[in-house]
Amino acid sequence: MAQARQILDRISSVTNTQKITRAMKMVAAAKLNRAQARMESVRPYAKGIVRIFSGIADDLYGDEHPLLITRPVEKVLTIVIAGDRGLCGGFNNNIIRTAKSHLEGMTGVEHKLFAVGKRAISGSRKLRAPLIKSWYDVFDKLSFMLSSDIAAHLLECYQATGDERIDEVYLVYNKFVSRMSQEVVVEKLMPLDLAGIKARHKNANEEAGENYVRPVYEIEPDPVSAISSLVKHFISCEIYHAIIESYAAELAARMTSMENATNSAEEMIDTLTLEYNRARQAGITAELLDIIGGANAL
Amino acid sequence: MENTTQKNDEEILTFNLCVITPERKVFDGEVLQASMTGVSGEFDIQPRHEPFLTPLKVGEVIFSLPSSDGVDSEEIVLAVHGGFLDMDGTTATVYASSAEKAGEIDIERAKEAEKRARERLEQVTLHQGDEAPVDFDRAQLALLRAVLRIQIVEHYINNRN
Repeated sequence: MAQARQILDRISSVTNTQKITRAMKMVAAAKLNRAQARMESVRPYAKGIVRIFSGIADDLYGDEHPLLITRPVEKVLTIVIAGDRGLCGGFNNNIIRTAKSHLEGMTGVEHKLFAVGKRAISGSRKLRAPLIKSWYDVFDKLSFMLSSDIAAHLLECYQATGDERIDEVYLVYNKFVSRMSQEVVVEKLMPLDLAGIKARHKNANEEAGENYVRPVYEIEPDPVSAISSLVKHFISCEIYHAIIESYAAELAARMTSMENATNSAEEMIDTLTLEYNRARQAGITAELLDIIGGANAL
Repeated sequence: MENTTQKNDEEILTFNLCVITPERKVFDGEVLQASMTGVSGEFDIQPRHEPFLTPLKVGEVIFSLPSSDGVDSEEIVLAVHGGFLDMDGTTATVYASSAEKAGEIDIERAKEAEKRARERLEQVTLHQGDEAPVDFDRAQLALLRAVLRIQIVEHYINNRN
């Protein structure tokens, strides 16, 4: 019976694990709903900022403001966004892998990193580039202040003159495609792509079936000084959006992987139960044989 | 919106005001007038204000709702922490990093934040390291926000009593 006892212990341990994975799946699902709602509510704001920006961009040549000027690229900053926790399949590894190939793809420049999420911080060691700033424990109660903070640091570096200067900024994060899939994307954040912003505004208008014609605006105090404030809001908004997308993608990945874990625990329990029954039966048979053998001997 | 533009000048007494933050839509409705602080100073918006755009400072956005009884109009005060005003002729939209109604402000938290920000400002000015400029700006902004919150709550409570 010793073997049967052991199998029984394993069954109860797997059952406990299954309870945990099932609970984690449910928690991730509930949090995902909230994250998705947050993704929805940022949309009007993002659309508005893009609309204002594309409007101002019409009046600009692209060299009026230090934030609009493109320079020869010597120093590149990459912002890597991953999760704080594991147990979400290949989510964190995929990010680090993509970041690595992105960094290796750009040779002849000096790389620097910002990391968001504990896994991005620990993974940044594999990227062989100095980690300048990092943030973690920010996803659950994500506030726009955090992304403003990241944007402030980034723009500070962009406008610096000394060693801390950067010429280009990339974002590497997971895009939430659906509850079943995520996609790692690399996006260029700075220098700003004014034509791209205008195109985005046009697409958004066409999608909504709107035909918004911008009236002639008075810009107070003047377009150039509005730009630095606008760029900051725009960058903050892009970062905020990327962090929410990444968080939603992380939760979706965790849901899927916990679902898989729950299912394989179920399978394991089935196999173990079968084994247990067999062991129990074997024990009974052995005992019976003993008794019959003993009776025959008399 | 189309109806409004077709009406005669005399009839247009209100305009649409939207206050949008990345987290939610704080307000969306018809108002009589609104005032706020832009980077070049305080200003008022009346119906049919000409289209204009300006960055906003950390400050109050005050607007009055049309009254139901035609006598008293209700005034709403928001704490807005920097953003933009986009007035396109019929709709004024405030895009703000964050905006709170007076009733939503946690005064205790604001007071704590004020204390923290003051301490931080002192520290930053004492030891000016490499990161001083950003930290200084941040502390200063935090202080501005906290003071604004406290002011608005006090204003709101005084008005009520």
